[in-house]
Formats: sequence, C-alpha cells, structure tokens
Amino acid sequence: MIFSARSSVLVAAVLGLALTIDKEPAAQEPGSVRGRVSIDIPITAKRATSTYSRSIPAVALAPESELRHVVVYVKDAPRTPAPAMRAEIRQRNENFVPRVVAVTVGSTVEFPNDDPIYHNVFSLSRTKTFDLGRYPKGKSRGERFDKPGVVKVFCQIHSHMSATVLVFDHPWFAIPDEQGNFDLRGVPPGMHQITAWHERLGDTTLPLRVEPARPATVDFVLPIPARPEDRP
Amino acid sequence: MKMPPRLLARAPTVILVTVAAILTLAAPAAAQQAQPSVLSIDSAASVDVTADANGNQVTGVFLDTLVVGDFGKNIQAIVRPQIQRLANNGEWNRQIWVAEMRYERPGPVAFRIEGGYIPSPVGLANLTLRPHMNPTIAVPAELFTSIPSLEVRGPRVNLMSGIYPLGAQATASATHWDARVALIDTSPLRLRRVFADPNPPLFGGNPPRFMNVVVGGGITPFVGFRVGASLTHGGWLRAGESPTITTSRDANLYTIESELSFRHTSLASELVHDALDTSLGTRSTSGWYVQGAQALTPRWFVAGRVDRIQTTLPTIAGLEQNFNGTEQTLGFRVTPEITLRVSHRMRQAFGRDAWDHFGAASIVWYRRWM
Repeated sequence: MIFSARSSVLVAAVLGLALTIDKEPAAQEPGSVRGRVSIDIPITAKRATSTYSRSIPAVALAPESELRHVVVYVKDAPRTPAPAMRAEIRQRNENFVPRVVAVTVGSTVEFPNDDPIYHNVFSLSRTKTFDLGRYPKGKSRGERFDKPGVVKVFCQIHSHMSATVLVFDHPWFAIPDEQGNFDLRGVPPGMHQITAWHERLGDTTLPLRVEPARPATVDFVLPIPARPEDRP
Repeated sequence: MKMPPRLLARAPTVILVTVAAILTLAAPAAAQQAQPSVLSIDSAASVDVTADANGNQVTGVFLDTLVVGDFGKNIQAIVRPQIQRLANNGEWNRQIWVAEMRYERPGPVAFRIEGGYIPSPVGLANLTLRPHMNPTIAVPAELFTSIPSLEVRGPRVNLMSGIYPLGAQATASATHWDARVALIDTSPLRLRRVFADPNPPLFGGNPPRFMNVVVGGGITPFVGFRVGASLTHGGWLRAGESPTITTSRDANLYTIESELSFRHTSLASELVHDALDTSLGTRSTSGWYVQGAQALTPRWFVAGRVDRIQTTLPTIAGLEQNFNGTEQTLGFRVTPEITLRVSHRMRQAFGRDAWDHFGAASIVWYRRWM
C-alpha cells in the first residue's frame, strides 16, 4: 500500500514533469501558414500609350500571371530582425519586371535597365524617397530600403511604368508561385491577421490561429475574402 | 505643291480610305502571352496664373484626356479631346486634337502607320503640348507667337504652329534611327482647328486646307542622344483669301532638333527655318529654342528655356524684327501625379527694345486611369 502510494506519487510526479517538459518546448515551436491565392475578377495589365514619340517602342506585354503581384504576409507580426536580401526589378520593354518585390529591412533592390532607351527610376513614397537619375541599357543602380512600408516606384520618363517594393521588419511574407500557393514558415503561434496584398486590388485580411508545429491553412480569393464555408 | 480644288475637297475621304486599306492589309501581330487591357485612358490638367509687372493677371486652364482603344492585331484607335481656357482672352476653347487609327508593328525595325487627326509630324516642340510633358509653364514661343506678316496684307503666321492636322503618317524606327513621311492638310505655319469660329474676321478663322508633305528622321548614336531633322513643303497662302491675294503660294519649313539626357539632366533644342514664297519674293524667318531640366532632389527640379525668333518686315526686308524670350522655372513634385511650378519669364516682343517681365505659378495634374 505504501509502495502503491509512493508509486502513485512518483508516477504523478514523473507524468507532471513529462507533461511540463512536453509542454514547455511546444509553446515556443513556431507554426506555419500555407494557402492559396486566387483572383476571381478579371484584371488586366496596363498598356503603354506612345502617342508622342518619334520612335516606336517595343511591345508592352501583360505579365504572365497577376498572382506574381500578390504579397502574403503576417500583418501583426512582431518586429523581428531578418537577414537583408538582394532583389532585382528589371526595366524591360518599358515595364518593370517584376512589378512587385518584397524584401526585409536593410535590403537592396537593383534596377537594371534592359531597354535601348533611358529610364529614370524614382519614388516619392514616405517610406523611401529617391531618384536614381537616367541611365542607359546595361547599367544598373540600386537603392537600400531601411524602413518598413510600401514604396511605389515610377519612371520619370515613361509614366505608364510602375512597380512596388514592400519592405518588412519581419521575415513572414511571401509572393505566391504561378499557381497561387504560398508557405510562411516559422510563424509565432497565436492569433494572427494574415494579409494578401495586390498592387491594384489592395489589402484582404483574414484572422487565423497558428498552432505550434502545425501548418495552418488560409486561402484568399481576391478582392473579397473567401467565405469560411468555401475553405477546405 | 498646289492641289486642284476638287482633289483637295476629297482629301479627307482619300486619307480615310487609304488608312482603312492599309489597316486591312496589315500583317498579323505575334501572339501575346497575356491579354492587355482594351482601353487605356489618361488625363492631364493644369491651371496657371501669370502676372505682369503692372500686376495684371491672367489665368489659363487646360484639361485633356487621351483614350486609346486596342482592337488587337496591333491596331489602336486614339482620341484626345481637350478643353482650354485661353489666358490672353479668357475664352473657352474645345478641340479634338487627336482622332486617329494606328497600326504599329514592333520588331528590330518597327513600323507604324496612322491616319486621321494626327499629332504634328513636324518638329520637337509639338511633343511638349501636354502640361506634364513640359518642364516649364509656357510652351515654346514658336508654336503660338505670331510673327509680323511676311506678305503684304497677308495673314500673320507662326514659325511653327501647334497643329493636329488631318493626314496620314508612316514611321519606321530601329535602335539607332527613325524615319517618317506624312501627308497633311494643314500648313504648319498656320493654326488650324477642328472646331473653328464660324464667323471669323479676315484671317481669324481656319485657313484653307493646304496639302503639305513632311519628311523627317533622326539618328540616335547612343542612348539619351538624338538628332533629327525634317522638311515640310506645301501651300501656305491661297489665292482669294483676301482681295489683295491673287496667287497661291508655297513654303518650305526646315527643322533640326536634338535631345540629350544624362543622369538627372535633360536638354532639348530645335532650330526652325521657314522660306515663304510671297508677292515680294522669298521671305525667310527662323528661330530656335533651347530648354533644359535638372532634378535637384527627388521632389525639386529647375528648368529653363531660351527662345529666339528672327524675321523681317515684308516691305522692308532689311529691317530685322526679333522676338526673345526666357523662362526660369522651379518645380516641386508633390506626388507623382501633382506638380507645382513657379517661374519668371522675360519677353522682348517684335519691334520692342524693352523686356517685359512676368511671374507665373501653375499646378499640373496627370493621372493614368487604366
């Protein structure tokens, strides 16, 4: 009986310790956010007009997929240092390619000119105001982004050209692939606001609980959030 | 070049039928990877206030919209309605400045043909006639400054007018060159509008239609530098326009233009020489302008232009008459769509020794809708 009582206490203590050991690391283990973005309204690319040029510009093609102009990110993520990145927005056929990039604070975005004409990249955004000046084909100039926010980029010479740089002070953001799939890894557990941003459709935000060490799923149908019953 | 009146009357029909035939025969375009928008629309507006040294103020208002419809196969329809409150007399002026069909085939040697009311195929200054494309508040003087009449009791002409003629133009271009030929119904020396005063005073309304041929081209030795030239030949005066004009007359108009851009600087210049056949023989007039713009910071820029027009009085060819003008502009880009400008202008009108000073301020708005 004594054995039994002691054993019970011991078992309870071991179980308690085991639960504690099991529970403590799990609370710190991050989860992930996966999902798919789709766009359910017809949106089309802007075509350049060239009424006033003496030379004929190269044809301006629409992008292969508007999904490449979406950025999915954790809206209420805590400020978390992340390694700086190097990104690139090329100037090609009087378009910025890609038109959307997402980088971490401290990153540098290069703007190579592939066109046989001058371009003049500039931004008047509060997050970053800059003017790279004119430079010809084969040259590239870069700009470092030190504050989080949205930076709208234009060409001073060709008013139809525009691009956007999203700068984050955390690492939980992604641009979907051609099928619209995205995967944010290492997201802190808890309730979060997950946002899908499109350069012309704006923000769409959905609440999502991220469980430790588990993938949470959220799908976006832009520009209107997917209804709960539509989600798998 | 003089056209028989019957042929001249049919010119618009001939041009439209020609354009339609060319568009029908146009080669198919390469397949695109994705479908671009069918319509492209942008608007530009400006309000400017100018005051002279005596404190007299005039206000000019300008609003235009450019609509481009894409019919596929590289065929586009372009129309540009425009409303303007003229600063000098306060009148509202409504015009269609472009209404054309265009076929454009890109490639190593790109090709374009357009017909209808087309942008002027002559010179460089005409390309600055939208406020957001003009670095200063005023446009080059050659476009709207009437020079003293070169024909006895004849109309006053401009060195080179801002025109949107009815006509057709073919353009070819590659990386280092461009060439164009155009047939237009308007003399570049005389303004012609789609909507003209129905009861104009003598020489105050639309001039007769004159067939003019324009040949032009340019070379681009390196990116950012282009030198071009054009020659325009055609009628400028019609017999019977006034009781004293008994013979139709031709004119030649030569232009040389250049553009240079580097880093935060852009420069442009144009030289125009007119040779007009008059009752007193050939009369010449010429002029030039040089303009530049320099970005100081992403928001601040300065720009300036120097204009000069030299001409003579018709009856005393040796007596030279000059027009000189300068403008210095400070600009601030509030947003990519809104720009504020202030400027100081000086003008020395024909036959005057004194310079007139003006101060001006403007707000320019440009928006691309789709």
